[in-house]
Amino acid sequence: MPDRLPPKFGGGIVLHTDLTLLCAGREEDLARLFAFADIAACLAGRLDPLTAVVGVDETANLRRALAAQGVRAVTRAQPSAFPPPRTTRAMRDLVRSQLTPGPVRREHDKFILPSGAELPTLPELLRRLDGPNRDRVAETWGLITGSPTGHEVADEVERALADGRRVQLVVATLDPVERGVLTYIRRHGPLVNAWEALAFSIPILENDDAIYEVRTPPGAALLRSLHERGLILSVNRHPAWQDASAFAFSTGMPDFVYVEPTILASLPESAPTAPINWSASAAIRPLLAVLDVYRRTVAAGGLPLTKDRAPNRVALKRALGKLKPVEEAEAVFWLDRLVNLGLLADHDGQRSPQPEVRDAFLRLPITTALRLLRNTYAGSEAYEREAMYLERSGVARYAMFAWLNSLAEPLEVPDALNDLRERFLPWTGHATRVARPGYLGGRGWDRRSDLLLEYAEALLSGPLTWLGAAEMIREGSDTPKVMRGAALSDQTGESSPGPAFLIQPNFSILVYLDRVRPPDLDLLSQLKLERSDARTAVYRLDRGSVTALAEQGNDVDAFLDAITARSSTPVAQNVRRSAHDWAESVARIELLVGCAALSGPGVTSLNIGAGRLAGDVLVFTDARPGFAGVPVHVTVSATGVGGPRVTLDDDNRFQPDGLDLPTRLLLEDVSVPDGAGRRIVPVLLANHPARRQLQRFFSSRIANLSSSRRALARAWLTPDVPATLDKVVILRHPEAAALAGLPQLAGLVAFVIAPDQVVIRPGFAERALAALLALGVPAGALKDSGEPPR
Amino acid sequence: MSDPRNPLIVQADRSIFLEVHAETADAARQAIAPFTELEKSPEHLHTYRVTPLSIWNACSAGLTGEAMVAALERHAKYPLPSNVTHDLYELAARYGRLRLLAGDETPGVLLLTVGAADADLLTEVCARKAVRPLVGERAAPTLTLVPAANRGLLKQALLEAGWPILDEAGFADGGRLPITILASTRVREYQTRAAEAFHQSGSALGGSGVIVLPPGSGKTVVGILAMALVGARTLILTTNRTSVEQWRRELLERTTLEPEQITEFGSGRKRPAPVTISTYQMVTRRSRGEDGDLGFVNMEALSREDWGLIIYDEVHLLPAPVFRMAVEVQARRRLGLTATLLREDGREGDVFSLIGPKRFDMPWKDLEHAGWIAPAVCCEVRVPLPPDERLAYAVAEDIDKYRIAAENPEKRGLVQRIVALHDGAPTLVIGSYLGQLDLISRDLEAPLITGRTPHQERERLFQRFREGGLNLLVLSRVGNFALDLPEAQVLVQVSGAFGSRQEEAQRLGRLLRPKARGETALFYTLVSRETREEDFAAHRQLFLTEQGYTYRILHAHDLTGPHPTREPSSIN
Repeated sequence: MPDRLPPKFGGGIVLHTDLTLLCAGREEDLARLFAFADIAACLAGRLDPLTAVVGVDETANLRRALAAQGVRAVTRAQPSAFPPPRTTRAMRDLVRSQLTPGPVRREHDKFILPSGAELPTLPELLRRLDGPNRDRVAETWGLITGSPTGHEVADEVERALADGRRVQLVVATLDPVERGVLTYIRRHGPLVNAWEALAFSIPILENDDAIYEVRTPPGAALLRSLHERGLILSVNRHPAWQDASAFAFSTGMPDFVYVEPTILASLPESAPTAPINWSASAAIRPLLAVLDVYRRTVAAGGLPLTKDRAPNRVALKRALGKLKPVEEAEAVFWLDRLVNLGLLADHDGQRSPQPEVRDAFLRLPITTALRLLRNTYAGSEAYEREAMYLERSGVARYAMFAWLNSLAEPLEVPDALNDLRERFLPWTGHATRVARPGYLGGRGWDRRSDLLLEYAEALLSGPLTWLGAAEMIREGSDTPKVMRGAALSDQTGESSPGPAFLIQPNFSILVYLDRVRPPDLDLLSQLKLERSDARTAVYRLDRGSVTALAEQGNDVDAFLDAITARSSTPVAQNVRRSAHDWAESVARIELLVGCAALSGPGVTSLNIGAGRLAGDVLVFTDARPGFAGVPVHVTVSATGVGGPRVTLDDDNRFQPDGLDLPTRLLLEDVSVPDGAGRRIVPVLLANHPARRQLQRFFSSRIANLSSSRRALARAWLTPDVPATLDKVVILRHPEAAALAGLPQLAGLVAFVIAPDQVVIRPGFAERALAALLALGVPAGALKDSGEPPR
Repeated sequence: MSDPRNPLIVQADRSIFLEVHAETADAARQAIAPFTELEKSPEHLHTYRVTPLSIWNACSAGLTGEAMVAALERHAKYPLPSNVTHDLYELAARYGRLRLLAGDETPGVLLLTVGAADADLLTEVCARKAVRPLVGERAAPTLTLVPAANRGLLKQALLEAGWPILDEAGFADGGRLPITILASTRVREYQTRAAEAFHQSGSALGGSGVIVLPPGSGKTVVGILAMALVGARTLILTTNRTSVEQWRRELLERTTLEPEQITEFGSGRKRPAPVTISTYQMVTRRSRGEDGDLGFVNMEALSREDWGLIIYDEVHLLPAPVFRMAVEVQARRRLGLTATLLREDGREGDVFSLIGPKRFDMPWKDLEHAGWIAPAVCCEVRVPLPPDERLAYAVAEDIDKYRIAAENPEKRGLVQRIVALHDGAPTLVIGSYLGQLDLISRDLEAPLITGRTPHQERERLFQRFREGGLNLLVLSRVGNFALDLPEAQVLVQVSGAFGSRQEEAQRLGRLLRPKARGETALFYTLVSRETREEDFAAHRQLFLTEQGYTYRILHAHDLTGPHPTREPSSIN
């Protein structure tokens, strides 16, 4: 955390007290404010790069925190022409929960009311509130005489709601669009974002009533009309759609609505939903994609965050692998959704997987999970980074959903844009203030319209395609067409019967998308997604998948059996055996005792090729005795203790057969081929990089070295580097270097040899072992170098 | 129409899955084989791909876009993606709209012609930057003159632009050379069909193209049949001298050609005979010509000869300079022989435009079912490094790691064990490191053949192996290509190149010649466990399983325990 503001801090901070928004003039300024813990504690989250939401009742604290950091914030109230949307505490909590994700939004948005909070009924609202709605409500429920008070209306509505026949009469007055909205709320409620209900009720109407043609979406007027009649009730006392012109100053809170249960119960039954048909099988592709990004994040061990809480770029690239820019943009999009869903959470500068949330997510019906994905995008209010800054982007996105949902057939892109101009823009109305990087402040309506259409086009080819809401069809050189995507289907049906997988001996697994059931997603989320098409996806069982499974304590056999149970083909022998071998290589720790460390200035410059020497385990390091500090470069030259001995004949000949490779290589430089064997020859080795090792070799491994030859060898190989020798223990593990960085091993590790090997400080081996056990490394995985390594 | 019981899944990226075990899988495969390329053929699901070249190859065989779409629709599980249908129609419609004909009047001039409706197309393609310098005068709205010397370059340039040329300009006959196949030669039915598909009764519709057949299926015989059909002086270009010997031997065994009619064009032997065989290396060797300039003197000398047919063996390995030669010999009949159209350098388009379209192929599984090639089981044996090499490996520089793993001393004992398990079976041991092979050769008391082994000595040992006088040979990489050892039944690969698909295919190809008693061929690969070699072996495993071979993984103790398994196929 910075202790003071950086010199280039831009200022221009505005605190909108009524809107409970903190606005900055520049993105980086807002990011810097978040870096101060006392300021960040007062902020519930970020609406867009320039705007943060102030936490509930935190305005005063925020003012103090800003002042403490020397930030001058201009305080502004809402312009009087636009009445501020006032929020209840429940709604504030709701906003907080939107910005600070909980476990899969508690399975979906309907459960996000704070515990203990109850939604007021219509009569309760009528008793508490005054306003113009009361007359419309009275009219709707048959009170057409006099000017009843709020209490009178409330009492009458309470009686009417208890009378099924009267409720039926009211429901009968609804037009198909209105009925569609309420039906949608019944299906997905009790609490639903009003914009979502509006967007997705339209195709239901088309299904129910073919003659009803929706050309111009009714937009906010419909919601207002329903609200005025008490047919939908808003959690927000002043929902954004109540006054279209207030959009630009909305806090961006979701406009959640609900409906009296009695009314919902009186709605006509909708037609039974059809099973997913062939053409709808592509609908689950977004789920496959988001789960694959989750898997990659798990494999990367989470993502470190930068000061402004964005994933570290390098770590992100490492986690996502080599991706083309478009693929990377999509992967980042899914990362955001994972955060929205709560499958990833930010703690202590790290974006970490939340396995329990993942499990909960995978228990959802597929259509619910898809809807959740859609809504986390539309409701997140995050901006499209590459495309446009757009206030109230949630409304615009729902408008796009609605527009796509109403597309009966594919439209060529120019026609689609015309249609969007006609039908999308009225939805957004005055709702948006739009800007693009490099172009700020679209003032004229035409310019703003153009920008909005650009925004819509960017959405179509990006997020809406990724979400499966739009499908772009490209046929050769013809103009591309856009059509309604399969994932917009609100159908909840059974998957097709039959095995969902086909496992091949080349480790690939073909998935028939129309046969996938929720438990299959659990299996697939452990595998590497290679590609997906409208009908099928191809996954791969690779080393990474298997080691990740094993590291999480899963039984690889059980996993393979579970896949086989859903596959039309058995797991091939080579696949099962490879998986076993991969799993076995996980987290195996070996401690190699009795190693020698040769330390001294300049020894690393000997530049001895690793693995070129026989003899004792030997570590070269520039570190001084005691191993204070970490050496920059360490070369290890070693083989196991007790290498083969070499016998020379009278002519200095020996047989290389039976010698190990390092010994052969070592002797290559001091011998020449001679018949079937080789012959040692005098070679001046004053500058030979391996002279010290050769000396050791001659003194210990040559069986019959005469005193004269020994003297010769000494002359050849006189060391000129003063060095000390220490006994050390080498720890080997695929993640040895990473383990060494853990605080539990601090002070125990002398230095890192390689990513999979570290040297333990003399006398600290037992403590290192204990620390590793405490870290949860299975005791059975510990090995001693006394046994030959596997 | 699409039916969930159908075996084909056609995808938007123009790849096609074939469910092999479906009832109608064979019919579907036969229906799509002419216009698709088989990419992978693992046990249960084969992957085909529709490419512009595969479509044009099919068009050259007379297939229409409508027929291709109908074949897909008849066998598809799901409705076809609209872009695939669209591409099939559009690409197929391009074939044959540009035709290259021989000019009747002016020698050395060809005619690039289109139908009356395509005059604008001709204008458009001739205006392209790459095409403009290759064409001559516009003689008519539908006709442009082309210098004959630009025939190959024009075809390349137009293919690059997405417009294949139907080359009907015909071929020079070349010097006459009647060749008769001896009655003792047993020609298989598919070999005859392949040669006839190439020759097309001598019409301008044939005479250039590629035959795709798996290793061990007798591509040399197809080449000889084509030579007999053409009946003209022939140049054969192949990959190495062992292969040159093989061609020569087979020509003498199977035809009426006399030894003096066949020659190897090589260092010291530069006088072509009616049938001349040479290596790609020899023809692309740079040397000084009479003018003192450095150039491809051999290639130029051979190009001047009056060949009636040029055979390019292993055409997927054709080096770039030979393509240049192919550009210049477009008036000669050309036959490419290969096991795969895939090239590591991606120059499949050059093969199509300069050698010719695919004329014939046959999946190896069909040949295996018919008994023309031997069934094979691949078996990877994982061997741990000995303790004293383990740490040396762990700390070695990357560049050394592969070698330490490849030369794992434990492999020596294992090779002996495998050879003992298959005692008496004709066995080849192949590796990349001479020191290791030398030790193994001594362990096994078997001759070692390397690049340094004199040619005559090599041939003598190969001949003994063929005749059964020797059943164990240790080979360096010289054993990879065009080696005709049909008796080999077991192959033990102790070390290899870094996951090269070609090397793997070639080594396995040594085993695929049908065995006298129909035995299964066994292909062992020894891999040091938990080393980079295992990673490279994973590539091999992928490649071989995707070729459809049964692949087993064993650990060394499976073979060295008290009850070693003799047949890897029985190990679970």
